[in-house]
Amino acid sequence: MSVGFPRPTDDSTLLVKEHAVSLVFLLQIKNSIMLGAQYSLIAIGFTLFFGALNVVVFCQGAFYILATFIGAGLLSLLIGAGHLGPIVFGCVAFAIFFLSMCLTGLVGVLVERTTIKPFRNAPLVMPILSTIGVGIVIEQLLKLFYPQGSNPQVFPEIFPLTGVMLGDLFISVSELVILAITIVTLVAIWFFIKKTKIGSHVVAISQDFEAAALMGINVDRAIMVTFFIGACLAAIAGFMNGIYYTVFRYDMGAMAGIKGFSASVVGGLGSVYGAVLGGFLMAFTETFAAAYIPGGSAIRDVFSFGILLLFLILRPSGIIGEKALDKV
Amino acid sequence: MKDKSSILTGFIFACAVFAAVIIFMAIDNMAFSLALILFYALASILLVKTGFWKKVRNSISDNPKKLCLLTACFVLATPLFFFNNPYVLHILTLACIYCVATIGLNIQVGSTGMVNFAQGAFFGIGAYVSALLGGHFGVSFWISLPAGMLAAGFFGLLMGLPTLKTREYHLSLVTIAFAYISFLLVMNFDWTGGPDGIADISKPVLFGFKIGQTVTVGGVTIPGVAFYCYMVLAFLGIALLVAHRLHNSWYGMAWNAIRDDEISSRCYGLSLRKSKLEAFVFGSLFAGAAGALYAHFIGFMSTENMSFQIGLLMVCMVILGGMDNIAGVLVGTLLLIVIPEKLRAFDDYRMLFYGLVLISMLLFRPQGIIPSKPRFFDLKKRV
Repeated sequence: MSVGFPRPTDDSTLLVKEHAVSLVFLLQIKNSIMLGAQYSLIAIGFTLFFGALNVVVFCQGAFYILATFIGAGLLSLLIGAGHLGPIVFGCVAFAIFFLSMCLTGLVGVLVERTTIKPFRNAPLVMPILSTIGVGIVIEQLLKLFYPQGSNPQVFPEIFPLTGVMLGDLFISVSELVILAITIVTLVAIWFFIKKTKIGSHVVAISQDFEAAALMGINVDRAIMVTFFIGACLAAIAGFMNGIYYTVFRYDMGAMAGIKGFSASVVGGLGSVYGAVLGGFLMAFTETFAAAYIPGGSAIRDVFSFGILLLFLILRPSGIIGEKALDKV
Repeated sequence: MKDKSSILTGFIFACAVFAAVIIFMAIDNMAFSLALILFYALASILLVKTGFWKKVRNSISDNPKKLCLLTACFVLATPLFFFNNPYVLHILTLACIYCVATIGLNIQVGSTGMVNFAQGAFFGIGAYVSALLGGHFGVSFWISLPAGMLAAGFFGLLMGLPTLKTREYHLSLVTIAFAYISFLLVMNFDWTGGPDGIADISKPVLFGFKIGQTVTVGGVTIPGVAFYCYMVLAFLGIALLVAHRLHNSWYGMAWNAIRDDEISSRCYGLSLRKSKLEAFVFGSLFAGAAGALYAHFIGFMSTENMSFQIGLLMVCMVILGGMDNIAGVLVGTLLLIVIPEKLRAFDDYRMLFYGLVLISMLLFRPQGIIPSKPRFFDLKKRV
């Protein structure tokens, strides 16, 4: 023990330690929620695609990173344009987000038209491979043709660096914004599926493709809308990633896509609520394993994939999934 | 009864391909090799359109033994042309090593219809086990190679177990998860060298002769790569033989049956569990052997060579060549290794090239360059 300092009583060290532990715990919960929100949105996209077409679109991760690049590029142009008032700036930034989201959605529709539709009656292996190919192409195009695309990019700071204190936990404005975006998006998805006509079309084709077509539902249009929305969700997750971590790189999409797919499988492929649950479960596992297992942060992905493997062995249908019957 | 087609067509074709390969490999100028690639592509399209290709195929299938012998002679003669150019030999050896791995992958992707993205991981497991045994315990290459194969086979079995309940996407997801998990673990263990990898892996020694040392015989300098190239060719020959026999055995039949219809093959009494696990184990054995050959060839092994991208690249090779066709897989692997090496200046565009090749093959020619033939049974000959 050090000599010169008054030795703190045992009580107070315990108090400080306990305090620090609980703060770390709260921080981890915050991190998990931030990460889980991203995974959930990507996973909902996977679930929608799978429901509509019975295909897994492996380039979801590419949509995610594509949107981040488009958004960041346009935002830095805006910031370079000179000083605008905070209200004008906010409106334009929002418009930019909306625009890049829609652009990504259109790319999603384009991908469906060109590389998924031709394989509608082909073996299921084909769309897996073709969408992986699309993912590689998008990623490489970003790397090669975006200015300095192979280096890590910085997402522009658009929110003020202040925040609120919740007890001892500091929550910044950008984190609050992410939380708000997540809730709004989830409500919007719920509204889309339950309350709109085209949403009910999407549900109908996911229940029975042929019967839906026979009932006069425009199947192609419903699929197009599904892909637009799925890619938009990936785009929103991409923005959240950019806002929260502020640094991104062209090859981050692949991992995010695979995590999102894993989350949708853990939750039960085909179920939107399952995708949200799966996303948060994966995020919590990953974050807590990284924080509390020694040497865990370098191999944090091992834990989330471990959860996935566990589910595939013990409960392949996922948390909410129905047990699939073999179709002959 | 159809007349047997003459061996001459096949002979001419083999000679032409041999000459084309030698010319292509010998050229060092990039613009010229680009022109040559275009020329070859046009020539092969012309070949198919004029119907010459059908004659060639008939000729090959009617005289398989003689033409195989001829091809083997050509393949063995190829390194002789490049004794003064070790770089070409290096590429050829690398391509042959990858061929061994993709032949194994073809068992899973082509024959059984299970898209496995973890072949890169098995490649790495074979390489690491072999290199570590040689480096830490001084085990000879001839023991560490089978050890690497067995380790890869064991992990193949381990990965096969969770895939038994899954199909299609879920199966691919299991293999992707396995590829990432093994990559991350190897990257973060201390005894694997972590991100630094393993350096100074010794070359194999056969009867006191170190394969990979330069030898001068009667004024002719034979580069060390040439010996290694011949050794890899021997391994490739064994791998081809094994894969061919497997394809024509009940194993191959069972795998094809599972690919075509799981439920009906189960109704006919096939054990899906057993057949699928066999496909995984056999495929990983090939990958393990390829990995061990690679580690001892380059002399350095790091996690970069066992990443998910390598597995993806191998799947591309199988798709390009033709699923469930061993000759096609060889062609696909050679093309995807050699062409990017020849166009070195476009190295940044390599992954883009792979992605575009994958998409365009799936869209325009999903059966691959050389499609697999339907199985043909002659009861009298008992093929």
